[in-house]
Amino acid sequence: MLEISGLKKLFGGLVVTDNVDLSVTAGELHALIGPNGAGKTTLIAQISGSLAPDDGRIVFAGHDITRWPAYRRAQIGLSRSFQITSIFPAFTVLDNVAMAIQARSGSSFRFWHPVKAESSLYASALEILARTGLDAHGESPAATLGHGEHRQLELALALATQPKLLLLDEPMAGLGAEDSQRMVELIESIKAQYAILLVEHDMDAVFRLADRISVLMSGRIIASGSVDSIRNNAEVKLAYLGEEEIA
Amino acid sequence: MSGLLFAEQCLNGLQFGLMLFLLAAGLTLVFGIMDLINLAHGSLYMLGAYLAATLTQATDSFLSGVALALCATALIGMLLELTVLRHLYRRDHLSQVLATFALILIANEATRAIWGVQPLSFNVPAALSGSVQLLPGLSYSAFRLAIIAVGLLVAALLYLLIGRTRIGMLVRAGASNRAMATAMGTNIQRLFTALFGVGAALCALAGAMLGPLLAVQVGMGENILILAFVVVVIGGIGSVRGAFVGALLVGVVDTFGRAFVPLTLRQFLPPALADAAGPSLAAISIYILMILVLLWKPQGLFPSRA
Amino acid sequence: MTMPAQYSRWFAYWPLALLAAALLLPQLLGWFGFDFYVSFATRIMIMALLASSLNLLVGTGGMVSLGHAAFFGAGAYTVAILAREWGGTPAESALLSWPLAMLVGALLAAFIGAICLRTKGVYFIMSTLAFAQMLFYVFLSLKSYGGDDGMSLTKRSTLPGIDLGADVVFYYVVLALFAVALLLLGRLDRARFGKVLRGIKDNELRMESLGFAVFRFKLVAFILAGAMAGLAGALMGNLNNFVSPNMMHWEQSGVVLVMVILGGLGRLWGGLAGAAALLLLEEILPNFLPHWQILLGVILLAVVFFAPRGLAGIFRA
Repeated sequence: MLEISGLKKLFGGLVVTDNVDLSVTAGELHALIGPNGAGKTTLIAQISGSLAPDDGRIVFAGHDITRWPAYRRAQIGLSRSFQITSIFPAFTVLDNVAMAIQARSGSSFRFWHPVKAESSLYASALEILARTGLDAHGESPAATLGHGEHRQLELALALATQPKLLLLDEPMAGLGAEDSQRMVELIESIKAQYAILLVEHDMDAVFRLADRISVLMSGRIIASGSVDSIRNNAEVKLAYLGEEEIA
Repeated sequence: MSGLLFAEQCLNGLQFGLMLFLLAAGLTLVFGIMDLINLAHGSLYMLGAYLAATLTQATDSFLSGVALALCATALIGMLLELTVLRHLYRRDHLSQVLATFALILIANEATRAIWGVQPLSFNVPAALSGSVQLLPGLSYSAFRLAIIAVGLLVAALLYLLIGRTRIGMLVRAGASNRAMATAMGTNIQRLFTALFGVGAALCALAGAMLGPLLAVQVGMGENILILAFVVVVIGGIGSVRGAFVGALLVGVVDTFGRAFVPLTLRQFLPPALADAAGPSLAAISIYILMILVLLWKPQGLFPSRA
Repeated sequence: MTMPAQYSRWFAYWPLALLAAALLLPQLLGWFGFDFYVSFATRIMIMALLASSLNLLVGTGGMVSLGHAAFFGAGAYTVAILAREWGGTPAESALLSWPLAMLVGALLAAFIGAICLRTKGVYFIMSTLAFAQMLFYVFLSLKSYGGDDGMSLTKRSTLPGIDLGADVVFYYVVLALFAVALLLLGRLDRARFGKVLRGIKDNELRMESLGFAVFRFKLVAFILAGAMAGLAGALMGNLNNFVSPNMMHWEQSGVVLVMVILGGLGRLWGGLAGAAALLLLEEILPNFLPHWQILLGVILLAVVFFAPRGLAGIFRA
């Protein structure tokens, strides 16, 4: 589904993405871990299209999308959730999701018929809200939600566009134990339907959800493989997980 | 085109550019640090000109008149900041536009009320009314030379203040990261007020120096305000260095445009067409300059924001 | 402020009441001997049309343009030049020259938008201003079309069977056009396109990552606004029987922007509220105070601080 080869990015003299190879297949959840400053968000930005790489190739669903603008990648099924919540605070929760659904259901160059009258749009939106546990908040202004619900909405928006690939950038950022648990269960429930590239710090979540793990350090992939192989990889443990024993 | 004419226009461009710098420096800092669009900036320039004209006549001394005008305008600027502008920092840009537009209306009408609708006469001080022989065949107005001298002096002082003092460091930090600056608390508030006073004084200085050359009348602020914004955009928001370079560029391009475009057009267009198109092309030249700069560097020449 | 519940039901019908009042206005003014105010009312509606078109860009789409007057002036000059060059032919017909004015506005907007919309924030504001100023200077230099003296129209555009030269007739034609424009703007705002514009204003980056071609939507909005402004220009040129380069000057753009902010950003009635308020204040205040502009400034400041959503946002039924 997603095939990244030789990706390179420099900021001035600093190499932030150093010859990265990465792939995600359909139905697989590939987790990307690494310490702060490793370049995870920069990598996500290059995959989603908000940042242009200096070298390398990104192939998605059979297309070479390396130079494609972000919106075009989204149109062929590449969806992203943001580490720092990026929703539409001026709209209600329902309208937020409806916006995402609108993006993939036909042209929005329509000037006459009210959007609210499009019942199928809103039915789909309600269904997404139910799936992500937000059905109670449909009519609330998105700005008034708590952080946990914001993260749920963040995921809802990414799901609503019926993607083929989900780029999840730290979906559990800032969540407490209970909300994190809920998010993990949510992602688990949708896992098999999409190709997912998950960036996360929460190791419990990563080990529970991932089919494959890659470790990014200083812009380079230093290890990549099954959950067990990474868990037992001495180099990774030393460099990143520290001396702490992971059960 | 003679070399002497070229030299003379260079000096004119430098002179105009330096005055634009005085206006743009305050504007770029206020916009860069406080994120405030202040349309009334031109009104402070106008006030400076009016006060300088009046006080020069009252004290019979250009120096005293200008000095007093600087102080008075700085005070007015700080008062404005304390009463109205400080409440606009957290508002969106458009509310700032409306509010400062309202201030322009008030300032213009108040000026008309106090000084009447006729332009004020403001003469070049007698001591500087002659000309100086710079080169054989090139004599230049002493007053304009004085403007250049004052402009360069102020630029040097600002460079020292911003580049070499603690206050200057705070100002530069604020320009590059506004959130940090506002998070630093009450000292910053006082810094803002002082900054505003300095900006107002710079406007007044520009007004006082340009007053004898241009007309001292209501509306003079708006005309030059647009040029000041163009300078700020070209130089990069929040950068005094950018304002300096931008102002000199704009000053030179504008001056050369007015002086040479009509002449050049006459070389290869029929005179009627050249005379018609000339002044417009000259006036447009600054906007073309701005667009070209933005195409090359979308954030201006020296963007101070990360 | 919200309306008490028992009134809000009736309050919802206020646009109809306003329309009725507008239809009756010329009669009412005639009874009181204020016939000359019919043209003033027409002026308000034309400026409201212009302000509403800018509101689509600024209020709904978040694109602050300081060059909107360019399309206004271009539309006006289209009508004037057609009448000057091809006087006595169908070119003088409103049915030809007004749509052409809209087309000129649209094409100009397509050109300017294609360049300026690649920038954001202050840079966008300044580049729109730059283009408008350039157009201003071009028309200033066109001596054959009046230069800075402007150009007068010998008469208003013609319509079959209707004499636009009569102020009352012209009033009703403008009223009809304005009402239709407002209706269309209202539909557009509630339609998919309007929602996308508001989404772009709220979070442009997210709209891009959802798959919306943001630039295209902005450009289409820019073109629509330009066409509407062109029509407003054609109407104003007709009202005054006069066009001048000042119609394109940045100060004109500034006044329209002030009307939009004053009236209420993104609100359907914001353009009308702002235009009516500003023009009425400018008409009434001089009768009470010699230095009325100070009071006007104070009123505007009061609106900024006490009615932050603009005049049209004061009541939320």
